[in-house]
Amino acid sequence: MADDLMTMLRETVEDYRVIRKRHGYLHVSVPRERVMEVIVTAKSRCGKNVLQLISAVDRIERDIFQLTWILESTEDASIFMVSADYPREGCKVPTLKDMWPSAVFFERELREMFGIEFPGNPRQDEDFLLEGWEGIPPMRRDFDTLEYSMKTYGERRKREHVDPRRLIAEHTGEWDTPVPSRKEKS
Amino acid sequence: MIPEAGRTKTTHLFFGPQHPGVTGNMSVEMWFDGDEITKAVTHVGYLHRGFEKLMERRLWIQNFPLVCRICVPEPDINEECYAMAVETLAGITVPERAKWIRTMVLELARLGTNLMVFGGQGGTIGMGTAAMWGITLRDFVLDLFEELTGGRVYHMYIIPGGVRRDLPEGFGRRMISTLDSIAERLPEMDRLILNNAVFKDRTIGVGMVDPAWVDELGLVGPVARGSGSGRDVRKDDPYEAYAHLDFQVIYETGNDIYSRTVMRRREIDLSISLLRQILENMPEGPVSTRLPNLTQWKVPPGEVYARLESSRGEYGYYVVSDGGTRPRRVHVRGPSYVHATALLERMLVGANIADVSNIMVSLTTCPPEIER
Amino acid sequence: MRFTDIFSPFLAWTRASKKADTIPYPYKDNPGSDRYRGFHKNDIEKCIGCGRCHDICQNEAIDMVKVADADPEKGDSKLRPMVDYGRCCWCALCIDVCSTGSLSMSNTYSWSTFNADTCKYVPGVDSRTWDDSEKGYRQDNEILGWAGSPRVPMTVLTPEERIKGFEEVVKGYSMAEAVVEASRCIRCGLCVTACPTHMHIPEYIAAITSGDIEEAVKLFYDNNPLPEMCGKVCTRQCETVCAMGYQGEAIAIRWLKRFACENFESLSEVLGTDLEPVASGKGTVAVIGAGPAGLSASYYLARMGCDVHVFEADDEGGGVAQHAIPEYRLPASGYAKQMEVFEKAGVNFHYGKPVTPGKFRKLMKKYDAVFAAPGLQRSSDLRMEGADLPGVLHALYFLKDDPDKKNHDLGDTVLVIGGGNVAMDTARTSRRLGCRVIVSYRRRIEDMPADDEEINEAMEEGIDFRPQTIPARIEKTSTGLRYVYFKAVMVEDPDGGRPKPVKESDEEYHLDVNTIFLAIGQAPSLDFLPLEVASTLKTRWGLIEVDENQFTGVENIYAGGDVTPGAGDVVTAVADGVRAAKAIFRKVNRNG
Repeated sequence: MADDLMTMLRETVEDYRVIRKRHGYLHVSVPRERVMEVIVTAKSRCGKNVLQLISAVDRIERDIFQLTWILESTEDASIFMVSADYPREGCKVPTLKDMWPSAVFFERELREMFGIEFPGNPRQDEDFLLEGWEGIPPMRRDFDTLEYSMKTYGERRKREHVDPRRLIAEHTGEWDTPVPSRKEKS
Repeated sequence: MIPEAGRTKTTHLFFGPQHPGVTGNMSVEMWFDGDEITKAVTHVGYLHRGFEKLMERRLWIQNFPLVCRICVPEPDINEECYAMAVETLAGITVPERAKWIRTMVLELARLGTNLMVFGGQGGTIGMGTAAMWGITLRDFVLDLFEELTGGRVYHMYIIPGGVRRDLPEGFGRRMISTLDSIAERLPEMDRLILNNAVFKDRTIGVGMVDPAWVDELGLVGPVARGSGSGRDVRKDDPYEAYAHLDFQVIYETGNDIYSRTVMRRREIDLSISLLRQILENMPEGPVSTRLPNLTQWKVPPGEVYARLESSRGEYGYYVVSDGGTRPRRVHVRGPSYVHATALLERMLVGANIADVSNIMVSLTTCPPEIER
Repeated sequence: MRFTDIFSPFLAWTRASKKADTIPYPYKDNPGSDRYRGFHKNDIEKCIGCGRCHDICQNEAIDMVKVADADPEKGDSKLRPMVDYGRCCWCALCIDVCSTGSLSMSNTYSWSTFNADTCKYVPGVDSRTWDDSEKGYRQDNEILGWAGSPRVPMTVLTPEERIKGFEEVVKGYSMAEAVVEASRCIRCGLCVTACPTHMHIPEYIAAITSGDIEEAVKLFYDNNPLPEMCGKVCTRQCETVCAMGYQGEAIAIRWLKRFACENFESLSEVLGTDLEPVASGKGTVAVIGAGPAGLSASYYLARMGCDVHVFEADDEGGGVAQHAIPEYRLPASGYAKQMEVFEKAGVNFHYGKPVTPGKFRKLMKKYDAVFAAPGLQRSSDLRMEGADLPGVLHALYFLKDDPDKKNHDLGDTVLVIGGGNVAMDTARTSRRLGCRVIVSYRRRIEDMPADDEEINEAMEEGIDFRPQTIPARIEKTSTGLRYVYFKAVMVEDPDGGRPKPVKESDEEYHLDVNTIFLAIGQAPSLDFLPLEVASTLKTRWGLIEVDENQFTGVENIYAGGDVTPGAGDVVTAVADGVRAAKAIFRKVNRNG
């Protein structure tokens, strides 16, 4: 089935990139304009009839969200994964609700956790895991869990930890070098 | 769908999150016309602990004590899935004996879970005795886990690269005797649950899962196999030692709660048979590969989706590494994600209010898998 | 539905006649299994306070705390882990990574208390009922190897290749090997407690791990201006206390330092602007001797802007370390590279200028401070019949004065008397010149002061060790020399000192050899001191006594290196220089 997929990919999109490939497992990255076409064709032509997962990775350093759709075939249980990059700002991704009803829930979660919009998903604005969440979506890389926790729950009871490295440095006076060190380490 | 006001009286009810009939903490918002549900909406989020976000802040090795906490009854699948993903990314080979021990642990966990759910299925329709018996038998399995791993519930035993310890002296003997005593008591449970007029009355023809839904919604595990599907990752994409074991995928064609219960009952027999096979064929050798310095362990960049068959069906981890000491992204895909949302909302329409928890247990909905 | 389905559930009642599965707690206890992960225990004597448990704890449940307000000592931070059971998840990662294996778990899992604060305690210090528990989770480093791993093997010449010439034995790490070896470091800093000059070991290893070798070299120069020499011949006390050495092999700290230096053609280019004076220090300082101690002091004083002049009797710097250690351990190639740094830093060298008492008086007048680091000049004599026969040579002079060793005809068989590094160097050099070599030492092999590494390599090269031999006399024979000795037995010292060799009997044994080397120790020569100074200095066994600032007690005179009591190795001398530089700078700039 995977070979069939490769033929399909060659015919459908020119510039795809294989991320991982082994028997019964193919992961490719395609341009976002063509990703829906690839998914539709994979379902209709290559028997990838089950939607297993929709996931997102926040590639903040490149200012993109990498969306990944994982499809499976009930025929031979092979996996087909398609990835595409979307700009982080005002990220809008087509919904798959008409092909797979379960997509509604995956998309709701991504909407809530990453702030990715799926226009056309009727339930996308319903709260899923977080009720009444305000502020930046928590799965984004720029959301600081520690800072949130301190703000919401207060600081934890003071720790008594003494760092062995720091204690030894103080005790041996190793940073009290004859010529002041360029670098002071904690 | 909701009847117009004034024509019939519609009741609006929240089922859960605190309710003994709900598996875990989730709630189902339902609208009734008399006893019959006309609309159901699931609400999750009561168990959201941000596992996936926390994993991005922790070292690769620090995540293995964390992932098991996603699923209480069957934590080992998470450890195994995470370990398989990390091993693929880091290019680690697992010693042969470790693979067999892992398979044994996974089957023991499956056995324990299925015993609990099998009994629990009786519990949902008021047979407390059945539920207690299920828990008792599961406890015998937990005794084995305690001996093997040092923990009863969270085993934290399967690590990237192998397992943490070899089998203790005489473990196999004790495991066989536990399996024997479980097998000896199972007919009693059959008489109590499967050959029970009340149970049959409440489950046959109830909670129907249309075989067409399997593809449409992506149903897996006992839910799919209770409706005639043959999906089982153990057979379809054999991992660890499953390729060396002799077994057939079990399926039932009744589509209802009863056939799913029978499915689970047969799964128990299958697990016992697999465990005996594993013990007979387990090779000798090391049980773990050496890992680099754990606090500085960097996993090469890459992405992988690792999957296995849990007691509830296909369970997957999508793990992304950016080459750092911590994962870039871990996405846990549990079977309940679809079972407890899309499927449950669809199944409950037209169901009787008394059957809600019956249906939920038959799907073994596990909210932590949805929320993580 | 079958008719029997109505009745079969009632068969459940048969259970009522059977034994219950429930454990009747508290009448019957249910102890945890042998591997149970219960409350922590810690063998407090074994623990070294490396903080590995703290680093690995994903719940931040472990704090390292001071116990009884003890200060860190060599190889032990004296901190001990305190476990907060409000956070512990019993994953036992701390047990599996514990570098000494001191931490373990008992099989106790239940504990009631009225005071929640006692759920946070230091195992092993705060006593608990499970402290003596036999069962529970224990580390098994054989299986996981998380608490200690083997080091990246070093490529060395085979013994057969070695004895063919003076090629360097150790080949050094490649970049990839160095990064892997460096990544084994757990950055506890215990090594710093053992290093005489307290180098920033965890930091420079971290720099190597991240591939920033230049940064590593810059960190070396913070408190060691002879990193390449130390990278090759250091006595590496750091490695003896390395936390990874308890259950695995210590990090190859010395080889990593060597790798970083050898990675560059020029060290002064790496240091670049770091070599410019950082302060406009006043004062002039005279340094006697361009060995490791003198070089080290002069480098830092020059960097602080002092006017430093080094007076060296030989034609080159580097001292006995550079010139007496044979090529196969410390090749001359690294010499110029390191000396360039001193010259670029502005140190003025005056070679071929031995200091005499008269000269010393002048130096005292002309300079604000004098740092005396002349080293040990004399090889000790063996007071024994025949020790002055021709063919009986002093090993130190042999090693030092004749780099090519071409001018010596040692004959077929060479005997070396002594068990230190000089003895090993002489024996192995003679072996490379094609001789059959015998080493005679009074005590046992394990008592030898030489590095284990040198002893092992010497054995591999086919050198014949004769431990427990007491020299009697040397006789002249027609073909060469005859070494006559007694066999010794080790007798325990009643005062608790190390065992002493005592003659087994009066029976004499002998060996016929061609050349005999004396390598029984070196002694200082304080001839350069004027009488008025020498008489006021405090000395012990001919060595100059100094305080913690290398101050001799005589106004403006400091001393360091082998001429002061100490370990007598390169890094100790460097440390002396570092301390002297600090003290001299303070002194001359406060007064000035």
